[in-house]
Amino acid sequence: MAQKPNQRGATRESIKATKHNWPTRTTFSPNKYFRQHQATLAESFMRLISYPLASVMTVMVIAIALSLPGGLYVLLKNVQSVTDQWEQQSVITLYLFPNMEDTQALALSHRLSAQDDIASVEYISKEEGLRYFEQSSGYEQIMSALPENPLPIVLRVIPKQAVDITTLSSLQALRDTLAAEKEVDHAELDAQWLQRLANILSFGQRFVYALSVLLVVAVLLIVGNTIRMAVESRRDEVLVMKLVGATDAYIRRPFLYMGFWFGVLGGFFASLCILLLSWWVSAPAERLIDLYQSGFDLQSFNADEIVLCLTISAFVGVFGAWIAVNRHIANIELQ
Amino acid sequence: MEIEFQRVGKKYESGQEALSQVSFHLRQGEMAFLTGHSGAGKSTLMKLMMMIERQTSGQILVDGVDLRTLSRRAVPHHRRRVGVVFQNHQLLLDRSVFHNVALPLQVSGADPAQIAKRVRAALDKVGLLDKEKYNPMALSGGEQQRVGIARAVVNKPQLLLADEPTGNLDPKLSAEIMNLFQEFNRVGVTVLVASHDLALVARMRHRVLTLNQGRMVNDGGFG
Repeated sequence: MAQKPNQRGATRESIKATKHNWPTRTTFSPNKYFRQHQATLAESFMRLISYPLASVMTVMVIAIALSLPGGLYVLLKNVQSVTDQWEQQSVITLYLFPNMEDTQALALSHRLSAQDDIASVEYISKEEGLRYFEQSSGYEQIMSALPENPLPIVLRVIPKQAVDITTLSSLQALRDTLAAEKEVDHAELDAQWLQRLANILSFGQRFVYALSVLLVVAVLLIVGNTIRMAVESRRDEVLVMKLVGATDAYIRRPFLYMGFWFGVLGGFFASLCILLLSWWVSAPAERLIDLYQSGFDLQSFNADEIVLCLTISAFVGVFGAWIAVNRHIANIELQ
Repeated sequence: MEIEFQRVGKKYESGQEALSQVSFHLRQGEMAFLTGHSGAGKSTLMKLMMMIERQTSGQILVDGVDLRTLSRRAVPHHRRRVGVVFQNHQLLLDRSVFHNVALPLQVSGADPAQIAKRVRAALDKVGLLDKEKYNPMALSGGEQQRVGIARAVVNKPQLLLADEPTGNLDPKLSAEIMNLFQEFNRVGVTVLVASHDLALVARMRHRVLTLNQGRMVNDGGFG
């Protein structure tokens, strides 16, 4: 039977005939592994220092790219913690259908005030509503010219929860269930300013996320490009190492560590930038807060966030280096 | 190490045929020269043995193993068993002689004490023990070539390949280099030296393989 050769041209027969027991990987020894990694970590840092200007520039570009979303994040965090403290009595106004009878409306009012999450219900009849309207609007004549009272019965529902950023969504849910009552034409939660604020905040959040993603990608490209140039400048070394039997993993390692250092140092200086920036704006910001007499402490980048920033930037550094190196090393062979 | 070429051909993607139907058998512990004009395919043949290139036809058996059966991952391990010396010695100028010679050992993860011992032994063999701290640039051409040889043998390879190792050297230095190869051969290393210095090759009285336009035209004799 004809043998089908594999991509290198070996047939099953030839593979079987020449079954070898050569080592295709060195035996693993944790000691050796640890020693090699430690040496490479130190060596790659020394290399970074040996090109101070280029390294500093790359690190600073990464730091700036990361401090922008980091700074916005701190700003957002402060705005959120300010708004968390603002609250007001919440009111859900129910406008009943115009054809509702007083008895039906009263029954609804009683039923609602018995509900757990509702503190009280204020009943405003059509006549009361008309009186309020005439007093406040100055349209007495127009109203008296109308054949009948056009105003609906209104129930002012006071929920137990006060409205603030955190309770807004549950109050909105309550408004929706109340709106679903068959007597209710329309329900309104009187927290428009808070809703707007919540919308602005969630817009801000998304903006910061999108910006972060973009800038992290930028860092990836910066690291990738720097590492690509580093590989190129060490082409001879890579070539010789390959000739004397270095595995791709061995050749890749110092470059991955280089990416790691770029990431960690970039993240470190980004954190430093954010801390300095927070400190710089803290004095005017505190004066501003004092004007509103709220007992609120300005927040900066805390330890957890610094660790997170370093972790992300280190990971991005290694990943960027990986992409650049993998593509490049395979192409370097003796010509 | 035993090498066997069976009707090996190498055709580059450009259509150029560097080798065709090359067959020869290099026995364990044998020493041979590979001659031919430049462009005859000497370097290509060496690259096939190093697995820098793959042949496009035929079989290469190394200790009975078909090189085509080796995966990409196995290539570095194959190269650790082969020492190579080049005309343009490929030394790294950013490190000392010692660290150049140590490279093959570092790459295979040897332990540092072992590395120092074996690097010094290799340098001693090529007579450069006192120059270990020098930068290769500070050495003469012949010395640089000997550093290259020390690097090629430090790993105790079973096969030593040399591509025009005496290309830039005067006859006296060339003879010294060749004698070094002979010494390694005497301790059992298979040696193949590519050279176009026919007079030198003839004096060495070893088997001579001659390539002409990619074909093996002579196998045996003393050139």
